Amino acid sequence: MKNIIKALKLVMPIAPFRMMLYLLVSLPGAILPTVMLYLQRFIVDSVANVNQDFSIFYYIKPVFMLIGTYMVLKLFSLLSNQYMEFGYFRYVFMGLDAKIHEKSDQLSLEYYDNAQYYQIVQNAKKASMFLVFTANLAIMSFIVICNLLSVGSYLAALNPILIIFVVLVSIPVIIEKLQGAKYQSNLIQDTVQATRRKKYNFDLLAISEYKKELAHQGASCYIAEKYMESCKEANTKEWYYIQKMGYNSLIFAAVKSVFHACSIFLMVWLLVTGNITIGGFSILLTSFSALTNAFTQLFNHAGEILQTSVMSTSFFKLMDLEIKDGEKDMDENEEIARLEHVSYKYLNSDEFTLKDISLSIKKGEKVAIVGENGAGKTTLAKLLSGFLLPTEGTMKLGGVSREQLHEKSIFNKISAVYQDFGHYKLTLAQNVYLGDTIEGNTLKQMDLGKIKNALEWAGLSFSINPEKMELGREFGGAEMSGGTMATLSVS
Amino acid sequence: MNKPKSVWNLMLQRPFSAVLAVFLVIIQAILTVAEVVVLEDFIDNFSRLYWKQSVLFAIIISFIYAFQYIQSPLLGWLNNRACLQIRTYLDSIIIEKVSRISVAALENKDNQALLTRLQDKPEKRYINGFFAVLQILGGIMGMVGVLGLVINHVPFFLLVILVLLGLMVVAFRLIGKNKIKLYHARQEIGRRSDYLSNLLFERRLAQEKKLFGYTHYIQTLYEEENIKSNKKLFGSIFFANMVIWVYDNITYLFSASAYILFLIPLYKGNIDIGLYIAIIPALTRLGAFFVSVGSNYWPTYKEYQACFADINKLNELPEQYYVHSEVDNTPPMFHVIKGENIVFRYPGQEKPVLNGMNFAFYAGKNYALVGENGCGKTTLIKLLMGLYKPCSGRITIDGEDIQEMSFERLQSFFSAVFQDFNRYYFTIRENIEISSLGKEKQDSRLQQAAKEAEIDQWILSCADNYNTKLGNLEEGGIDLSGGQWQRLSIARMLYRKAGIYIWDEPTAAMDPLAESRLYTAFFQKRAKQNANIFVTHRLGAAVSADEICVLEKGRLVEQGTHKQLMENKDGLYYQMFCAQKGMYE
Repeated sequence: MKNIIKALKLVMPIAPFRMMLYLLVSLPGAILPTVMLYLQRFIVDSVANVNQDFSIFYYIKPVFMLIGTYMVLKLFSLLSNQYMEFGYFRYVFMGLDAKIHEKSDQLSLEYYDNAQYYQIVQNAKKASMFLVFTANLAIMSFIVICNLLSVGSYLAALNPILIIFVVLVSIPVIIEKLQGAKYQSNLIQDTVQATRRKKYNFDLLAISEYKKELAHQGASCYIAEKYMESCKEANTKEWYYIQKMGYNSLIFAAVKSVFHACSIFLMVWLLVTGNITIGGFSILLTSFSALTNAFTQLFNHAGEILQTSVMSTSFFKLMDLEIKDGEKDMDENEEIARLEHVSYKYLNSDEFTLKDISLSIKKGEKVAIVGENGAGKTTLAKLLSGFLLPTEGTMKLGGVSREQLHEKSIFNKISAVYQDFGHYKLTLAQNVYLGDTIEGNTLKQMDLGKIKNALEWAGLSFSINPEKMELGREFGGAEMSGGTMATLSVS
Repeated sequence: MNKPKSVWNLMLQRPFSAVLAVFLVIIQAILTVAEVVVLEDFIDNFSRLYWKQSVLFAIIISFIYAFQYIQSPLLGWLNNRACLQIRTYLDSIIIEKVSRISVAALENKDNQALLTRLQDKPEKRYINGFFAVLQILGGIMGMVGVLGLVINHVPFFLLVILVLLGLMVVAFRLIGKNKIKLYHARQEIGRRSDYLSNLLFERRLAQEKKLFGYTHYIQTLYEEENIKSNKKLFGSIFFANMVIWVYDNITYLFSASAYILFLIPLYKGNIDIGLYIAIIPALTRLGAFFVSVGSNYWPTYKEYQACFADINKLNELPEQYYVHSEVDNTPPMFHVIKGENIVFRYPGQEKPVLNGMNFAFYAGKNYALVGENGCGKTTLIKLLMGLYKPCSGRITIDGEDIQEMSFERLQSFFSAVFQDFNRYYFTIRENIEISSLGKEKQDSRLQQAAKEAEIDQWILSCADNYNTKLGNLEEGGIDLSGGQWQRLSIARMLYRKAGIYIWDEPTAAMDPLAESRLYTAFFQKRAKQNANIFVTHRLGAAVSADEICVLEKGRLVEQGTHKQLMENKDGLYYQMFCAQKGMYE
């Protein structure tokens, strides 16, 4: 329950105006079906009771009112569907994504280096979709409740006991849904590993950069076997849950049918004792189903909300990850970096990667860090450039302790090229622009002249308009050799 | 891969699900008619005095409802079961084919879109297509039954049904194509915005992202992309929805007008009040069935067809593969590889990467390919190995055109390590042995390769030695530094026996001296009948090569030993060497 409230609190304020509009457009769908029930009953009742002296025109008006109501009802449901997808859903989605993008930006690099935490970061992306569902389900539930109130009042006016049966028929649904939700989330948890492995192996075979080595070595088949193994693993687990869920829903279906049978007996009894008319009876038969359907839907929604709220927890897990960021800016100082007895240990790791290091780097000095592969050169470089915080000891950058420094202020003063530079499938101009986008808190205007200068400096003067040239062949652009990419990264 | 099977074929192979599903749908259709008949009979003959008849009615109707309650979980279970079976089949044929597709075909934009579509639960489209057709058939059966009850009395109603059917066809035509286009468009657009969003989560890029602080900019691009796609899709979806709405209304107009139409035969005495009351909900349901055929079942079936067409299209893609474990492990001997007048340009590009290149690589020699970035070094390697076909010119091994060789035979000449080598998130042993999956696996050979790549000491220091898991795919997997990955990939190349070893700048993460040392040591150790071709833009490493090939703008401009090339003071090599000299002093 806490999760649901948390989810709603998060989602509702993202696009409140759009949400209200969506609600407004959807409401007629909740109320108009009851109007139709009244009209139908009126028509059937009058046909059943009127004698020979009838006029066809007497019926034309209610029948056309019925048709008119139906048209309006359907029009609104069309509008609400359309608005849901294009006016509401996507904006909430974008809002949520903006939140996780921002958070992922603030996260310290440690979280990316640790498999377990990195999983959370990745799952959060999927979770945002479930959050959107949660929000939408909450709105839909509200609409279903309106529908229930209106149809229910109609039914209650005929006989209040029927309402009890409606509830009885619907109760198994919620239990079923709750169980289903549990199974579903168990299934996802059980197969998450296999699914990742599947995706990884598929990509090895389907992405040309990986594939060329595999094709050359004749090992594609080996990877395909690995893929099938993961499939088998996932399928076996899924089959187990399918059996369980199928068995459950059969039992619940039986319970539902017993309650429904009771209600039919009640209706017949009401007819026999003269409490309702024949027209009322025939409408009852159909409206009872309509009402139980509405209830079922409501409980379905409730169950799904629970389900999605379980799924969306990884979103909050991401949001709750601790951010270590100070507020101070880096000072101009003679001593650029000073490390005193610094040790560093990666998250969840037992061994220290760096142990008891003390050093000092002054302005104007050129320092080289050398050592064997895996000796900790890269880790030290990451510490010095402010990506990581020392586990033990103190590190001062520009005279200020790293803990108190504002991350952005460090990165404004540092430039670096890495072993793994990025390949961005954007236009050439965008690729260069990525290196320097922010001024204060706003986006800079893309300065084409500056970009061309940077490219020329790096020895890349293309005759093509850099704005138009797309990198990455999969998106239909032209690919450049890795070396060119490296040069881009420098500029 | 054989011809892919359609959903009908698959369902017939496992008749249990199919037969049970058909059976359930037929019963459903019969019960729809039965409900009308029973209700009619009850209302006509209802009398307050005769209660036994009422109880009987209640029991029958209860059973009909009970069946409906039980039918849906049963169908759901069948659906899940068949879905799993179909998935097993599709997974196996798709991955088998994907593992064979040629590298060049994978670089095509359309093919990538196709693969993305096929990863998006094709089994669901299969099974939904099957059930959609089943529902249509069941609905038609119910419709015929209900019409049979009234058609005697209201013959013109048949006309109404015919008109509705005609309109349905029109609606199909209007929506059908649109739906498929949308289905493709949606995925294409999603691919782009997903890519952008994933950039921000990519572990590899985390450092650069922080340093450059481009999150804000990517976020802006991401939003632009979303809004653009929103606009693109909005119109066509709105159109499809409007068509359905109009059709829905027309259908309802007819079924609701039954209230009036049936009054005439009612008062003429042709039908009784029971039928009048019972038939109208049945007709309304019939109308709803018509609408869902147009808005749901038919498009679902069409989606299945599109998916089946996709799988067939996948099946047609060009293949280029072999299975190494079936290959004899001794590499073939060769004397010379020659290239004559090679021209190559990437698809969709005007400027050729290689422009009339001639070369000859002899056995027993070490070659260094040097040149500016983008001069075509890596492309030449890809052509040499047959991963791309030259646009014109030919490459021969001892006079035999490589285009006419089987892919298997061609690859057996080479062992290569690429610039963007693979990092397999498997065990260390698998990472090395994958290059030569023979029947004979010798630990000594494995250790030898690791030793030559100067990584054996590190491997022995790992907890599980050669069985240590790498990467973050598995629990307990360890991550390596860039240099360690590189050495591992070199060990992988060395593990494979071949006549020609190709090093496409696998040493970028090493310092120039270590690189130079590695090459020199390797050249001395390897057998005389081998050739080594290594690509580099650091000339210090090239000094020890027997021949240095200098590439410029897709042509071979200079060739010779270091000494020879240094004598030509106007040459490109001399200039490049002088510029880089500082690195080694």
